[in-house]
Amino acid sequence: MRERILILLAGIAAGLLAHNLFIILLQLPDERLQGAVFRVIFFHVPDAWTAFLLFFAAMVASILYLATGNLRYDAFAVASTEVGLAFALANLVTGMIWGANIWGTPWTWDARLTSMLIGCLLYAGYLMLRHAVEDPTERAKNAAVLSIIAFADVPIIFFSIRWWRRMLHPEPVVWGGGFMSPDYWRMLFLNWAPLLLLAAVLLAIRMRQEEQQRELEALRRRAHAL
Amino acid sequence: MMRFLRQSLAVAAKDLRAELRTKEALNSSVAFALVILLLFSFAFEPTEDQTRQIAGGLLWLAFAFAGALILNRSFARELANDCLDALVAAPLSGAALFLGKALANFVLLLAVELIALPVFGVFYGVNWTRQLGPLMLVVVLGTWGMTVVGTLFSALTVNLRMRELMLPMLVYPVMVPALLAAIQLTSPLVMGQPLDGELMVWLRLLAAFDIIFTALTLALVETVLVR
Amino acid sequence: MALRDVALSFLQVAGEYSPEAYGRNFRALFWGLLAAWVALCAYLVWLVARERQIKRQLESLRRMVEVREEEAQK
Repeated sequence: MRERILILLAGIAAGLLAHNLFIILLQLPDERLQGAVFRVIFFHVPDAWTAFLLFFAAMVASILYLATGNLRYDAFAVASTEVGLAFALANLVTGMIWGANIWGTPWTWDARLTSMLIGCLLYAGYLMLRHAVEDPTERAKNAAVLSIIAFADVPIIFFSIRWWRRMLHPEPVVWGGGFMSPDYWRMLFLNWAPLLLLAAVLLAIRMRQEEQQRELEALRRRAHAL
Repeated sequence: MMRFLRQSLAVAAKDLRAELRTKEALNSSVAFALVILLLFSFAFEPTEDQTRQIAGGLLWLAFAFAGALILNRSFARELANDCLDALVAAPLSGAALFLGKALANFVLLLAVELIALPVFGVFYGVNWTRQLGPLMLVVVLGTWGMTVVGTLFSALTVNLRMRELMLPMLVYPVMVPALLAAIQLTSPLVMGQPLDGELMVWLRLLAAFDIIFTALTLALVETVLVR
Repeated sequence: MALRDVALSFLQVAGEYSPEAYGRNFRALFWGLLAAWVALCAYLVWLVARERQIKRQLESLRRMVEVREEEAQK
């Protein structure tokens, strides 16, 4: 049952992506100021939205784990963080592709990309911590604390980096706000849907994998005891 | 409440007394900070005006790296002879233990910074006492931000094999807003500029960071300590 | 409101190519990107299918361990 749902979700995502790609590449006209590479925005921005949603979900799961002690929440937290990190990296890469095209250089310490980079480092640290602790309960507790602190820090990081860049380079924001026509906004959200579906499928797969891993370790311990 | 504070101060006093007896962490931390300031003088021409403008960055990077040494020792010191287990089992809350250690680390790190500042002034030819009051405020706030988060991570990583590597790796990204604010404030203050309009945003950010993370770490530390 | 817009955009697909699309070889880009994404979705489907196999193996392993435990208790 679960498998059928997941395969269905992946199929819907593929269909939506085919539809969106067709429109993005072959039907939407070039944006006035930025030319063709602008189209990567339809993946670049929803990647960030998805990543944040997943990091937030990981924090909620961490809180729930600390409150209840149910290791399923811990499995959800690590799965959510890993998938979120994947989308965050996708955001960085697409951002650099766009930057290399628009500004001539891939990295200009743009506020959003810099904040996302720090976020990636934060959550990469989370994964490193998990690898370093062996006992499952201790690993879950420490990781949960780190996840809560990390996400509490994320808005502060964003605000501080944005203020920093604004102080040094008071230039107009590259895009955002009213200059995008409704067509583009619609496609932005429309493309978010397949990414969310893929994120859900990846999350489910990873979470099941984590639980199976834990069960394997438990069985191994019992077998050794025999 | 009073008992909580008294317990924290007792822990802080114990840690400080232990440290002052050997001065291990203090000496190596000060030496490390000075070495970093020296190394920076190779990267940036020390007498240039431009270097003085990035003074904040130089100072706080030196403080952050030297601080990692102190923070690491904080809980690691208790591993020998099962002292950590004894402390956790003692009739004081995890939060009190944590606050005590954070206070001790704060005092130690502050000492390192107050020794490094005059040396910095001599190396780079900067008269940093022109805005002494505001500068000290920033140093105190920034150091507390570093300490409170760093002590929590010290407790988090105490049992790991690669503790010395994991602690900085985990702490620095979390500390970015506080470090950034401290750096942005320190550079102009060291150059004698007063704390005015635009800089106040950074001061507020630093204060907010301190408040938020003091509360958060106090709330979460019990989970980390009890095993 | 938004739902109507979404539905309308689906109808858009049946329409014509924009003028830029021809000149810059976007058609090749479209097929290339589509292939990449479809490959990703197919990989996910394959992963989901493999879960079933692993679950079965875990089950048999657990039964084996339980049987041995019972024997050890006697």
